Amino acid sequence: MENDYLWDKSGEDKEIERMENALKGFRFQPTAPPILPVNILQSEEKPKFGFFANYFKFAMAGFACLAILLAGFGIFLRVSNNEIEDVADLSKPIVTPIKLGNPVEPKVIDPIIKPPAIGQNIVKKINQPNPVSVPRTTKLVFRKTEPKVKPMKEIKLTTEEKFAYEQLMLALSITGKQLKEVKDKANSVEDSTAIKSLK
Amino acid sequence: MSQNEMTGNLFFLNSREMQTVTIKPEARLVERICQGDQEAFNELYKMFAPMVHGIILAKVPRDEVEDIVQEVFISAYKNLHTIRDKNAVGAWLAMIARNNAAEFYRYRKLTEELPETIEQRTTPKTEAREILDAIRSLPEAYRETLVLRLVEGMTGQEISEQTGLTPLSVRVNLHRGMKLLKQKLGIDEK
Repeated sequence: MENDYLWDKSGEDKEIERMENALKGFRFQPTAPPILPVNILQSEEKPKFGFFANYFKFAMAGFACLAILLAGFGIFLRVSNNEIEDVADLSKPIVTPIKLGNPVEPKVIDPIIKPPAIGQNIVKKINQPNPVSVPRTTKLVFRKTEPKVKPMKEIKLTTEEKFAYEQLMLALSITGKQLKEVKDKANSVEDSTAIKSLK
Repeated sequence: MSQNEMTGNLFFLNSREMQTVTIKPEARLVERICQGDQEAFNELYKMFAPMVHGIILAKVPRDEVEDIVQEVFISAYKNLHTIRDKNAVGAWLAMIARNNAAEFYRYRKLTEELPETIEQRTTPKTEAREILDAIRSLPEAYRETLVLRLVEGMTGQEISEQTGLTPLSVRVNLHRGMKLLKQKLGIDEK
């Protein structure tokens, strides 16, 4: 059968046999295997710079750890210094800066500090000389012993806010005076009645 | 134990046994070569050189084939430790042969084989050349299997075992290739 001869050379196929005979001249002629260089496999298997590669890895890991430690220590020092300065500021009295040339509109007013009485008190304060700046002495305070206290923030008020603030203070002072007068009157009435009763 | 479990265990044992049995002799040769055995390499060369020769002959001019076969085996020897499936060393060598044949056309100038004398046109040698040229003009899959069958004299089963192709695809390639070859050569099919 033709199919069998092409697959496993069983049977007959004259045409294919003729082709095979013609092409025999191109068949592989057994020759000596190629001469191989010695120890190719061994040299291929060895990793390049094996020892130095490992050494380099360890060195890099060490440098990385050292760098991380130094960076952490630096950050710790910086943070601790800032905390000391913050706490040291509290020992200094808080002074609101007021310019002598512009007495009507002081630039910074701390609303948390007890407000001065409107009118006379402001004038008095303006007439006072500037507080002499005392050289600051840093006071070391340990965090463990004393709690951390944040300094009070200065709030800047606009002119309208300042006006409203003054008006409010005025109203309060007026009402306070009136209340006092009423109280005094009541007290005087009580006193007079008491005197009368004693008499 | 149920019937299904028993059959499952039997199947498992059979598959394990088959796995241990199917270590091919060429895989053992590869192991020996990796251990530095030169004699094993010579055996591997004798076993696969015709197959490599056929694959290269299907693509490259005849004068260059011998050199490329040597190059294929040297590069195989250098990279033998990288092979994953040692049973498939034939397919691996066939792949290296195909790559080296492709590299030949990439890096060298194309040459054309000429007959030695014009009078030799009617001799059997020129007939063989015509057949070989007709085979080389076929698609690659048919080309390789036909050269291995007609030039190297391998059977279909041997081609399948050495190149790693399935027997079915080798059979199909052989028959379709032969049909095309006969058409090219002007041979009437009975």
